[in-house]
Amino acid sequence: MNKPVRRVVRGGVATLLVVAASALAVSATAGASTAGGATPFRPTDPGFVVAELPGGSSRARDGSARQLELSRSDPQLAAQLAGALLEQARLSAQPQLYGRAESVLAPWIARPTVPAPLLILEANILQQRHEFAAAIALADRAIAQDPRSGQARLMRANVHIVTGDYEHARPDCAWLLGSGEQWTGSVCIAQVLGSTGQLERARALLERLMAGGAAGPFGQGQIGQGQFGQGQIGQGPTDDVLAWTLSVRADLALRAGALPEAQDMLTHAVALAPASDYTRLALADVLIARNQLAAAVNILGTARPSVGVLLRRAIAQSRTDAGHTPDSLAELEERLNVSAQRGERTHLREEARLALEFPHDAADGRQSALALARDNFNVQRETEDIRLFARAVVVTRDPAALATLKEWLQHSHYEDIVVAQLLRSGQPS
Amino acid sequence: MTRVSGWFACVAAALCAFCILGAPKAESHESSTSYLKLGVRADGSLDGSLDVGVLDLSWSVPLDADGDGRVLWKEVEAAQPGIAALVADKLIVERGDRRCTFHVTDVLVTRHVGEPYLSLSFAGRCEAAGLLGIRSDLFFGEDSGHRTLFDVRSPSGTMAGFLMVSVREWKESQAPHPWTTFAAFVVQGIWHVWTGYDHLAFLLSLLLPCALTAGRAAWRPAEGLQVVLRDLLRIITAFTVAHSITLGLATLHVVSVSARIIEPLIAATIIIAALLNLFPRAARLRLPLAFSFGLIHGFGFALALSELAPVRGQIVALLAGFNIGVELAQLSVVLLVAPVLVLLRQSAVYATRLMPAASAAVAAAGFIWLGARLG
Repeated sequence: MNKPVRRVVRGGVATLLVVAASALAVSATAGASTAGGATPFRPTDPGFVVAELPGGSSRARDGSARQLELSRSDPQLAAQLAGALLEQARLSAQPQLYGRAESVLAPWIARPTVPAPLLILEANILQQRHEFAAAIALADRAIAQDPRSGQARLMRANVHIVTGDYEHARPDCAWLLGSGEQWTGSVCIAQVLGSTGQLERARALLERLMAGGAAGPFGQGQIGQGQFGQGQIGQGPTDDVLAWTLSVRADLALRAGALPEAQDMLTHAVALAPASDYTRLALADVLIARNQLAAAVNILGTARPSVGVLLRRAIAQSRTDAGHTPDSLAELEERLNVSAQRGERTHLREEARLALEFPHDAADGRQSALALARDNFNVQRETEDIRLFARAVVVTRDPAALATLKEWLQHSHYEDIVVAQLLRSGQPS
Repeated sequence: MTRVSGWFACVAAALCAFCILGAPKAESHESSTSYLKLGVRADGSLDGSLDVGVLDLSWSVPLDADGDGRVLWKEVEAAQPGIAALVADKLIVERGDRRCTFHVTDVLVTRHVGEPYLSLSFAGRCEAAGLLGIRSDLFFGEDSGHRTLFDVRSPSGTMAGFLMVSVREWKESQAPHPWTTFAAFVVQGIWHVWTGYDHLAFLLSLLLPCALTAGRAAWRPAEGLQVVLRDLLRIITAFTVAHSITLGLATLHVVSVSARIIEPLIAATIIIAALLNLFPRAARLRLPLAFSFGLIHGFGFALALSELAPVRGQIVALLAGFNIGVELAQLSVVLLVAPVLVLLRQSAVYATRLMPAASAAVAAAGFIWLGARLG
């Protein structure tokens, strides 16, 4: 080999080695996860437990095909079946059952006229999937058919509240109050007031409601006479309704900066409705914020963890043991990966928070966190969604996003001490 | 009290207020998912696996014979004929519009996202040629939230996607003729160089001293056209061979490098190549550098190619087309620049002023790109 050629080869090999080494370094740090699942195996023990069926018995599954068939021609059976599946989905943390409930409803929803209760059930499923506009459209249809349907009003009000459209929620809350639904109507209107510049009034209203409220929050008759929400006429609200009320109160308290108070309320709410993921996650967030990490991990110890549970576990674990990658992070990323492959965007909130809590790399990571938080803010506007957007705006110092957030806050008169502090800290000095 | 009809009350009882009120606040959950892996070879042989959730399957096939709420391995083994029949009934694979025949060969236990799954292996036979198609009715009728994620390998490449209740079929799209792909990517290759200012800048910094010979302390005009052409040919060949190697390796996924590393590196190569033109003594480095830096630029071409098209089938047509397009564009630059250099070389100003000034300008541009790509 002549000299120049040798030089060329030597230089080339050296460069190739450098490039290959950096490629290895990149692929090692990227930690790309795939949804390939675990390696399949053949159990050697015939008694090996492949799966535990939630709900304890498989009896519920027996004859499910027959029932599905019958429900095609019987709206009452369809409503019962779908309702039972939704309730089971909630109690046993089996999200698959939402899809089963929807299959029961599907042939009915396709018809030109649909009984209102079936519309409400379908709307309930749609909002689970964050298809809020479609859920509202179904609730509208249910109300047009049955203007006295308190459930449809409640659903519509709540979807409006979740999406930050407080002014459209207000008439439905007022309707509930006017129709004798004192308790649910009060909680409904408190959420609207609390997000439209009357946070303290909303807190006081719910405090009075829970403190006895015999005279009712607006002095309109007795509570406990509603169509639902109360166990029986004359009795107080059910545990589930109390838990919901407490979680709304805790949310208002958090936005006023009263963390210990919110913690007490949420602890109480979890005790009243242990199956509710929402209250559990809210309590975990307060515990994390107050640096009670062991207690947070403890409250998140469920058998079938949701994406929200895994995310908070990862956050709590990473703060307990800094520098160590939390176990739940890999499972969380796998779940989000599968969700993306399924073509869904229902975990924007968790993805935004993940991107903010565990930034992969500096500038790119911050920008993608902002994109996720903004997309999420465009879909839903609960306390956490607004806070995440504010956090992303502050870390990226993105002027357009800041303007969007400020304009919305000003327009709605939304109050949250944490958002206000974030925006103050993010002001250019 | 609001009057309610009998069956509405039924629903109201099943759906307590909190379910409805709390529903928008509930964490959204992902629903059930199956995972289908399918491979079809050129001779028509078919194999693959379908991973289904045990909980999903338990609604369609009795898996808990003793009703104790647990699915044991022996219960799965006993249910295997039922499982195989269900898959045979609900999953259809086609090739060339003819159904493939296949059967479940094995059932294993696995997990996906923390949930128990059964992995059903299958094998069979399809038509030896034709477009591949999948249709599944598994679980969609009973669970409208179900999705089947598929991952298909066929001689024309690998494809992934999902089936859902409203889209239960997938069909491989007709691939364009390889010559069409080739021609399209020749154009893309030409276009990439012509519009990619950084490759032009690098090429220019390699070409600028081609009509000169390095003296001890200064550049002087090269003696004779032959010398100029030989130098040009050597430099351009070294660069071309090198970037073809890495373009091929990266496109075939033998080596992969992040854009975050390659983009700044390309800017650095421009700076170094341009600055070396200021030092005639470093002239002997031009050839090895053209080769080494060519390796880096090849990764840049591969990144551009991967952005243009998800590389599936027709890899040869695609890669050859793009590479030839890049060479043609380079050649056009050489044909444009070389005559000017040959004409200019006799002018003393070129070697002492013009060439160093142009090189410094290219280096400055390189610095700007480096800053932008690191920032």
